[in-house]
Amino acid sequence: MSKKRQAVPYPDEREMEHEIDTILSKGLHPAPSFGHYLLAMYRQVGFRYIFRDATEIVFSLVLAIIVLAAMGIAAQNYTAFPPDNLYTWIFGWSPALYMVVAYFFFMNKDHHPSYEIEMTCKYNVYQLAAFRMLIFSLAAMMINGVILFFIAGEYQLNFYFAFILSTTSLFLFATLFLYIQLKRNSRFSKLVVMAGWGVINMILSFVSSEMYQNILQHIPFYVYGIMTAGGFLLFYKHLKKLTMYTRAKGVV
Amino acid sequence: MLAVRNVSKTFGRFSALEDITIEFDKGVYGLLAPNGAGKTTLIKMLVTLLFPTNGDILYNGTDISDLDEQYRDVLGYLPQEFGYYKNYSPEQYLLYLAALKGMNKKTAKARISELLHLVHLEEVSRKKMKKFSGGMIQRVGIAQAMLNDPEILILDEPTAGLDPKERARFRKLLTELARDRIVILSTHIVSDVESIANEIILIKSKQVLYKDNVENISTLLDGRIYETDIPISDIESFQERYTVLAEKNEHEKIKVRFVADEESGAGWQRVTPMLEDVFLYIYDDEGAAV
Repeated sequence: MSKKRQAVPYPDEREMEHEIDTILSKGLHPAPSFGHYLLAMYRQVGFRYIFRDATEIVFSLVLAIIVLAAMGIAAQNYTAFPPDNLYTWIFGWSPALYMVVAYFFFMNKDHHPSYEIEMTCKYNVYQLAAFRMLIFSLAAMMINGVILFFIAGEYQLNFYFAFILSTTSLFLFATLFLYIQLKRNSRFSKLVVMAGWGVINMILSFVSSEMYQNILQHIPFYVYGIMTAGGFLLFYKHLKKLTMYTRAKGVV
Repeated sequence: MLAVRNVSKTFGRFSALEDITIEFDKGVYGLLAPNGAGKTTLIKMLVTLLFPTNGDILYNGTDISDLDEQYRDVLGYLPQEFGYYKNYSPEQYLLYLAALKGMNKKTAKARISELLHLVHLEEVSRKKMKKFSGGMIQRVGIAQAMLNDPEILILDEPTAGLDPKERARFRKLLTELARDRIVILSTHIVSDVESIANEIILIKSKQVLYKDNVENISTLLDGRIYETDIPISDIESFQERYTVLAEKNEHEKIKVRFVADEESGAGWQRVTPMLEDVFLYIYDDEGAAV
């Protein structure tokens, strides 16, 4: 038997790198982007089941619109509703519809009878919540837009300015609300954010109405544009964090 | 393989579980302990509803929190208190959960029909669940846990509300299912797991006391279980001397099953220990661990 040693070709550095990359690309599933993830979830679960409680949502929205309209009419009897103060009102109240829907969702989510089972499904309550919050924010933006369109006609407002002011306010509030939800998951903290937003805006609009109005109106259009885009990106980033919420904290 | 490694769980200052290490492979595992011993806490950690304060839970070598939805995708879970939407029919409810589990509608419908047949609910598949009995609801719960044909099936007190016939059928079903998956069944009812569990896990004082098969656990009391008849008037003094596991009135006497460390007394009959004897002895208020 020949004792001659057979030469084994040893790979060089480049070959090794290439083989490692091949193994990793075949062995690891690349993480999809958040947008793709939401889209895949929407395709697999479907609108009907993501918004299983659509009737309750519509009911709370209609109720919120009625209550806010009634409050507005009642407030007209005590305070003037000057058209030049409208931008202040728009900034303060634009998040109202989103506020109502988001609050009811986060308050009720763990009172669902089927909560524990839903939390252990592939797409759990928080992952659905991210999709829902995105849709709620876009829906609130559109409803605000329609309302502003009619108000702008009636009170000679700059519709585009009013719309971007409203959208900036909406995404700033939505980001703040999600931030608090992720940091402190308590009923009290959410109420503080909601009440705080309302109270600060009301104080500013009543106590130093002129100055607040001036600040809002003198901020250049493009700054609002940057704030809206920045607010939306922050909101989007927090939505992504919401899908991973249970990994970080556990939920029961 | 599902591995629980050095897991502890505390809630504020309260410690619920300490340094738990268990490995689960294919088969039925009976998690046996009295209420309040930490079974549900352990189960909730296994299904990602809670996370360990210390230690890791790994599935095939990866932490289950890192696996996230990939882990939940292979998981079936029936909680102790099974909640459902009263105005839904079993079919509607299962279709909803199938969507959350990422199943396509066609596969889901076929699977739901198969499962409702398996749990004998096909005739009421379109009736609202608000009119269902406790046993029927529990069977819907069992069906939903098996919806995605899970690799890991975790059931917390699954036989609550089932009648004896349904229990027997359920045990048979679990035995079949456990051939190619992990089935973890938490209960305080010994008969639920005695005949079907490959291994029994007994938890006491926040830690795993035993993890072994029924035969080996039962031998812990080998040669120490007796039965005898004693007069009714002697029962109190007898209870003070021995750990009585069971009593049965028979004519003027009481037939007792008990644990004794001493040699057999007059009229005592040594009997083969059962899992229930070990369970009752271990969790006897004054009894020390074996």
